[in-house]
Amino acid sequence: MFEFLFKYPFSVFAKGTFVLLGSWPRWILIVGIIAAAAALAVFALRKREQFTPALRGGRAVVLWLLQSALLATLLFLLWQPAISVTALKPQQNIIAVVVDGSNSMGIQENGISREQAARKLLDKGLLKDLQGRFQVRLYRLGAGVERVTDTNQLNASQASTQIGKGLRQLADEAATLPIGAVVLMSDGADNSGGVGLDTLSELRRRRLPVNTVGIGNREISNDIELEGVDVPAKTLEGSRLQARVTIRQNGFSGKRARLTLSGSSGVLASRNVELKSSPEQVETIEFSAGKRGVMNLAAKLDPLPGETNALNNQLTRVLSVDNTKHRILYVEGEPRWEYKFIRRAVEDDPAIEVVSMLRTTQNKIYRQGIANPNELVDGFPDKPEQLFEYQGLILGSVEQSFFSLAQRQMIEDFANRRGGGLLLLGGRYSLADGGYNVAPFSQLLPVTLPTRKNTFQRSFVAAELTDAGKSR
Amino acid sequence: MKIRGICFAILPCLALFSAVCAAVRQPDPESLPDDASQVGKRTSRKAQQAGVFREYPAWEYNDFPLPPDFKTPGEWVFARFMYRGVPTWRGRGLNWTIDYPRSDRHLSAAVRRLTRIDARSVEEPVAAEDADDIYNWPWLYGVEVGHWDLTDFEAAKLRDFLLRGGFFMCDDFHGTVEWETFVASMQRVFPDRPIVDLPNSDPIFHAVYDLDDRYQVPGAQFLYTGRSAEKDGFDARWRGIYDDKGRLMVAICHNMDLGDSWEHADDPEYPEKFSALGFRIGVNYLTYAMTH
Repeated sequence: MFEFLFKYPFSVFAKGTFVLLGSWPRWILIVGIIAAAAALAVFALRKREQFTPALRGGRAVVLWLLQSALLATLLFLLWQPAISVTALKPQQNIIAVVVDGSNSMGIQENGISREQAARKLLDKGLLKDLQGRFQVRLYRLGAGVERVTDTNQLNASQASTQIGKGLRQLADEAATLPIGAVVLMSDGADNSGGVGLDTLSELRRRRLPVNTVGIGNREISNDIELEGVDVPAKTLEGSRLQARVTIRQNGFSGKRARLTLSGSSGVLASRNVELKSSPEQVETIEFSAGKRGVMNLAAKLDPLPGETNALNNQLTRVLSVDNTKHRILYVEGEPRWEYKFIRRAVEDDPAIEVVSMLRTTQNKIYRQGIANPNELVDGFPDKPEQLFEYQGLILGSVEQSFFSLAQRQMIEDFANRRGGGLLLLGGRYSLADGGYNVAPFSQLLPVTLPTRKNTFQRSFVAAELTDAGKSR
Repeated sequence: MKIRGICFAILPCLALFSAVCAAVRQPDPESLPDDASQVGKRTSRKAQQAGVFREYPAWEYNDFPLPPDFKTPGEWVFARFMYRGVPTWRGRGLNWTIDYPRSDRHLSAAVRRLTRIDARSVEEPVAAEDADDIYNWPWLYGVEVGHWDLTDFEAAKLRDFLLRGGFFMCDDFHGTVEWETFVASMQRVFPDRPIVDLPNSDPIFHAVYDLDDRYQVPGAQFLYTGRSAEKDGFDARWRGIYDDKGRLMVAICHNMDLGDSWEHADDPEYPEKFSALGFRIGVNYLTYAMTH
């Protein structure tokens, strides 16, 4: 009924903006309304003696108001009020129809795959309806968007889809093509990277609406999915790593699934995972990085009996294993047992070399792990290039006043510019007691140190092996 | 009567139940797995804790004044090894207490004065049998080891302690007979590791001070005899035992008495040069132990 009366549906009016199309300025309208109301008031006042008694007093005021409103409405109409809405021009705008091409679109539901369901929807009338009013371009979404000529070229062969990247591509195309809207058909699975704020800003700037069409069931019953695998991108040769795996399950609560991590050399680690009742759980699995090289790490969950979709049980990540020896500079302000056992712990590690300088007395530095007799012979490095040779810096129980102003700045640059790792150990002359609550260290540290001193204390602690330690 | 009968029936049942519970050993939630050696056995958290500071009756001193800060903990503590002595007609000797605690406290004071090490002012007598306590004191000192006779347990525990990174310094034993007594027990600790002379180039002689020029440090008997040597120990020998990585685990000071040089450092009659060298060697040895 609304559309019959007003030609456009209510949603159009809700999104539109009110405008006055008349060429005269608005202030003339306001002045005119006020002048008309004033003239009516003067007329009514002059003629009030001629009014019948029934029309005097409040009723006369009401009459005046009604007459003023009528005049105001007439004047308002003269300024041609209108609602401005954004509408695509038929056959002048392009509609980009983007269809998800990830593996999950191959999942069978109700006898056909999701990708077939999308094609059916397009072929049955959606494409034709759109083509009747607009130019239509068809795209397949994978790592980016790829234009296809017809629906037969659509398939579910991509390992994952990068929706953000695809939309960004379309936004960039809209700079030269009159793309008026995007229709995105996806099942929402196998998506990586998300849609960044910069992409959203670009879409908004170009006034490019994205209309989504969900394909497939919201939830798959009887399914386990490997949603994510977190591993560092780089590691040292022979190091022991932990992968964090996110698992989603539906319908297999309490069951056990086999989680396997494989590399180029074969299976690296494998263990059983008990599936919890929560829809999402995070599990960890330890493995050895092995020899130097680039590894294609594959995490996989063995399909369970009755599982609807086994295509989402595997994810791959790239891991770069490095065998470069990392030199760490360790500055210790007083002989401590920690110093001895840290050196012992990394002694046999082929990837790490600890070069240490220890203040044994007020004016003596004991150097260990040096490459040649001249290394650190003058104490802590004075020049950035000397300090930047190291990949990491450990500051033990040494007060910050041990370093000159320039050296303190260098340490900040070491962490901020060079990207070196900085580790501060506790001790009598460390942290708050060492005066590290001032710049530049206060800006480097991820914690706020107290301003008071004497925060260091000694107490005996008993060591206990973790489960991982007990198993070795 | 009936009630009495019931009580008589219940009581034995209760007693039997208690006996069964006592017999069934409940796992200690705090205990940790044993290790293969059975000597470095990690017991409960309680056993890993250091005990309360104790003073022991000693051969020479029995009422030595405690410093006011004796309760203040420190990073390094003079840990004195309480070993079993050789049997004598008077029983097994308390040779481990020679110079104790005066030499211990003097060395601790010297370490505080000469280095940046946070030294506790008082010593810690340590027994191998005292659960896991020995592992709390990574630097261990043994005096008059020419009179020790380690038990099998002590030998095994000392071996485990040293292989885990502990350091043992022994001192004040002289001549051939005492050497052989020392070696007899030391070879039960390390049957497969030789005792070697320490070269001047060893880092232990350069950790803080450069000690290429060392001389024999005699004990207090020097004041009466004028001789720096005791028995047939004419040549001071700095010896040791290394681990597989070439780090010194055991420092053996034969034919010298560093303990006396620390003990009598405040005695104006005892020559200053012996105490000076004694302290320098002590500082170097413990600094080495804390860095290697």
